[in-house]
Amino acid sequence: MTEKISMLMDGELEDDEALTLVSGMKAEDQDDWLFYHLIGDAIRDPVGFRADLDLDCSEAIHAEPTVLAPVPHKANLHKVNRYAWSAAASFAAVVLVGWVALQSPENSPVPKQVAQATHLDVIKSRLSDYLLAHQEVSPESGMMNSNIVQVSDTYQENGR
Amino acid sequence: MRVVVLLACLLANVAFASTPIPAQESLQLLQNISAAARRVTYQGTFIFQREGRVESTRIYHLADHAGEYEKLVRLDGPAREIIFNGEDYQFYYPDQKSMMAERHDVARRGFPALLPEQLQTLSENYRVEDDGNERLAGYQAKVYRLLPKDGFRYGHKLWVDPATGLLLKVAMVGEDGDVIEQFAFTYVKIGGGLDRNLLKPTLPVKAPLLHNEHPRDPVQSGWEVGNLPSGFRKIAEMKRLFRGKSDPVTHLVYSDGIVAVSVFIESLKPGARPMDGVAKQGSVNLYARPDGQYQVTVVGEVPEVTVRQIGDSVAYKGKP
Repeated sequence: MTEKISMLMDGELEDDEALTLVSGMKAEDQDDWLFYHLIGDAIRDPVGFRADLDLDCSEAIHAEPTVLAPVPHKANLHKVNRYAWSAAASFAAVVLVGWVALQSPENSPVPKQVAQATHLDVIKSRLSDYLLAHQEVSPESGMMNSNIVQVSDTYQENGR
Repeated sequence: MRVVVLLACLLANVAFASTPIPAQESLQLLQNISAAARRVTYQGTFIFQREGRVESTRIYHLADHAGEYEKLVRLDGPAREIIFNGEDYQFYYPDQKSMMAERHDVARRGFPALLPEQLQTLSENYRVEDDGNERLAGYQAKVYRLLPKDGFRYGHKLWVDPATGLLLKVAMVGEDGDVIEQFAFTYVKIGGGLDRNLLKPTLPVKAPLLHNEHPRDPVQSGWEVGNLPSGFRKIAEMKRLFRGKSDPVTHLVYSDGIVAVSVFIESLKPGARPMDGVAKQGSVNLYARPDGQYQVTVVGEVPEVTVRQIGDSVAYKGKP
């Protein structure tokens, strides 16, 4: 049932299937429906997210180790990556700019505790060097995009 | 509801069916677009949009028998001006009270001069389609699609002034058809004269002009990408210095005719923590991994799969 609701949200159900599903929803199914919409809204609406996250982010980033997202199985890597990116994109818009690290290349089933804030600063600075150097040779980079130097605090890093 | 949407899509497809353009013709078309950005006089305002961020830039571009001159004025955020005087690029940063000059051969070109002048390899990697007409920034633009032939690059959609070939808008399109980022004129005046005073710096910076002295020496580094995605070729190889680093970094540049991918290789200091992971902003993907005592970092306006494949196959093939 949960899967069907998810499909309905993604617009993957045919009209008649959708009708049958909606008319047959029980109370707990309606809760799922609401919950999914809440997630969807949070991802799509960074402004709505801002009020809660602004404070959390800045505190978390400076005080806490960064948590690396768990890596999905290979089969659904693509789909989950896109989800992770869109969620991260909203997040980044709140924090400052948009550099967001993804999963490390290796698979790890549980979130890891990784680098401290001081090390994140090093990574921020290092990333900006590569980006600026690449901008010199790439026509498609935003030319005036010099605030790319302020690489976002959202860079998460694998701390092996 | 879905049926209505579906019908609308079908109708739209019929009305604006794109027509493939033969390779030779499309090459000429793109060369014309590339040349127009350099040889046409224009002034206007364009936006750059990426991941919910938008920045506006004013551009003045004068092309005459003597050459090409340009001034870019950033309209949002910290004030910035870039002036191209035919030889040097000069960057003005009033908030940092600094100016910097850079030689033409290394300086970047931006919108609307996005397309490189060397486009020969392009047809190996993209199909070009005529996508009808659309009104843009007051002009009746011709619309073209550059469809990638594989998953190693993004698609592009171009809006072009048919009279001059000037690019009015360009969008990078992902696998699912979503626009990842775009440049677009909101206003542009094409042709006519341009008052040369408009090309002078207007920002009050009182500082000596610094020349960017970071050396970029062409080299044969011995580093190679073993499993290069189809259509990419090496277009440059150099050593460069990054601020705060004593050892030079090897910089390899690959291109598929439109986009560029940079590969950086540097030795890791003993005890230094390598970077290992992926980062993304708009169309730009960055992949970093340690390789023994070296750090490999790949950056480009290409999908993640491309930077990963390149980064994973970087190896030293030079003299041991």
